[in-house]
Amino acid sequence: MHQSGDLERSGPRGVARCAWIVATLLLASCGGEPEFVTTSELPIGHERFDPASLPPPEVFTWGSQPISASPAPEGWYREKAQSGGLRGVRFIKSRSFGEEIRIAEHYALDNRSRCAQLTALLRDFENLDRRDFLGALQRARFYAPDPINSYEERKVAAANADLDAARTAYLAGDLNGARRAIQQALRQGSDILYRIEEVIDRVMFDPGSYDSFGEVETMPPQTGYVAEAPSVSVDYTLDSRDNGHLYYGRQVYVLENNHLFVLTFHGLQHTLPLFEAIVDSVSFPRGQCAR
Amino acid sequence: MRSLIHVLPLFAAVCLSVSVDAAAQTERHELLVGRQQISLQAPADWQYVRRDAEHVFKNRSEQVRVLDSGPLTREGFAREIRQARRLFLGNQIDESIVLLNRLKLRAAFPSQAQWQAVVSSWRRISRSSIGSSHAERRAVEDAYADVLSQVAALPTRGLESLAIAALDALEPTDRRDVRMQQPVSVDGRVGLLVETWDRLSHAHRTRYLFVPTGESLFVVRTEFGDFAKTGPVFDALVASIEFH
Repeated sequence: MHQSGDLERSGPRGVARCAWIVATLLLASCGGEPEFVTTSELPIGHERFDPASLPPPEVFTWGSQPISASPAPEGWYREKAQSGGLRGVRFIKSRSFGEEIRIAEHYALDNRSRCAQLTALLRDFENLDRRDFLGALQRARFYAPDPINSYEERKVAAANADLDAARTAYLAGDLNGARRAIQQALRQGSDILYRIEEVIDRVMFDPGSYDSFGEVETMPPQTGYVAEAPSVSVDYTLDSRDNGHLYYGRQVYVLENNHLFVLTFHGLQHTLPLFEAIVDSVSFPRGQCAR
Repeated sequence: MRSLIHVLPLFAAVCLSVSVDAAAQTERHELLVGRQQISLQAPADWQYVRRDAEHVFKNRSEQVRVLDSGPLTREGFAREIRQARRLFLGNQIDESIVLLNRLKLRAAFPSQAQWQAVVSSWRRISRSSIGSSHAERRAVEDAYADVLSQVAALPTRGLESLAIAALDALEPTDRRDVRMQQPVSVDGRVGLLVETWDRLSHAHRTRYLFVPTGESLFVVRTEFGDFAKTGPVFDALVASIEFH
């Protein structure tokens, strides 16, 4: 299992963190019907932000699954966010004490999918010469040295076998056979399905990253849904020793169509309702690789 | 005190009219953009700067640029390649290569296979060198003939395709998304208005106008600075354009 492999690699701290996540998720799901808690029902952030005050949603397309969300309103400026295996946008409150809202995607999961490459290969099939076809076929190969689940392991092997068959057929002049084999590889890839508990450890909040800034108190993770996609969120407080402010943080992880999105808030308590309104504005438009 | 109350609205009205006048003050500019003569009105407080073949309107850190895309149609490519051949035959090899390297020819070929058919001849003419043997010069001349015949067979491209080709040369394609595009009428000509922004953050909004002018596109674009300031000036420039 991938999960146990990760545990071995990440050491005692990773073991504790992973056990904490799994235990909490199990607790949430045991005893009959799981009792999901939506992010807006969490204990902090009692005030509501009027969603009508938010700018209209924008569709961000960073990988093959778009995400639509309202940006932060006037008074916040935006920058691209590219760190920690995430890519996306961050909104920083002007003239504040380091308040930030971030919407990003964990791009390693998008990179595992070969849907975009295979779809492009089928689209350009007629226009590619031999050298370019073989190059595109090679780039479309699935790569999962650390399978997330056993199903992925089987499907990746089967899809790559189909791509080998496509290569053989193409070199033998059987273009229809090559096309069919690529279509079969695309179907194999679209069968791969991750569960949120299998991938969340890649991005889960690490209180240790704030150790040097102050005292961190972390609440247990809450399961829920964002735009009908399964989600997990973690709340924390940071008692800053730099400026004496008590910061509130929330990280929301959402798995949609095998793509892991991370929405984060770090700021003062009265700003949290704005973040909640932004999370409520999220939807997932249909992408080119929708199931 | 009473007289002050009477005077204040008058003073405010004068101030308002002065500020409205300042905002409305514009200056008409006659520009040669590529081979196209145009005129447009720019706000008087925006400085005009000529940079080689490009025209820049700037105000502090804000900037709007007017330029020609360079040849994008098969007729434009053919004219430039014939000019490069004349330079080559006149032993101005370096000048001919500079001219060829400016051409965005690859994107004009609709398929990889069609490009592959011409690529060896293209490489031969765009990498020719001084001091070649007679046989080598003969081969380059044949390659010119081959490229010209392949270019003559290129399909006619629509405005959208030409605009995308021009855009690709102006911005890195992997970092931006097209936010919107819509046809517009500029002085009776059909153009395309395109807006792009950064793919990750949707920051750095940039607005473009593309209008066909024979073999190339007339281009206006917002550049550096706050889009809230460059956008309205872009719109005012575009609304005032007259093609001559």
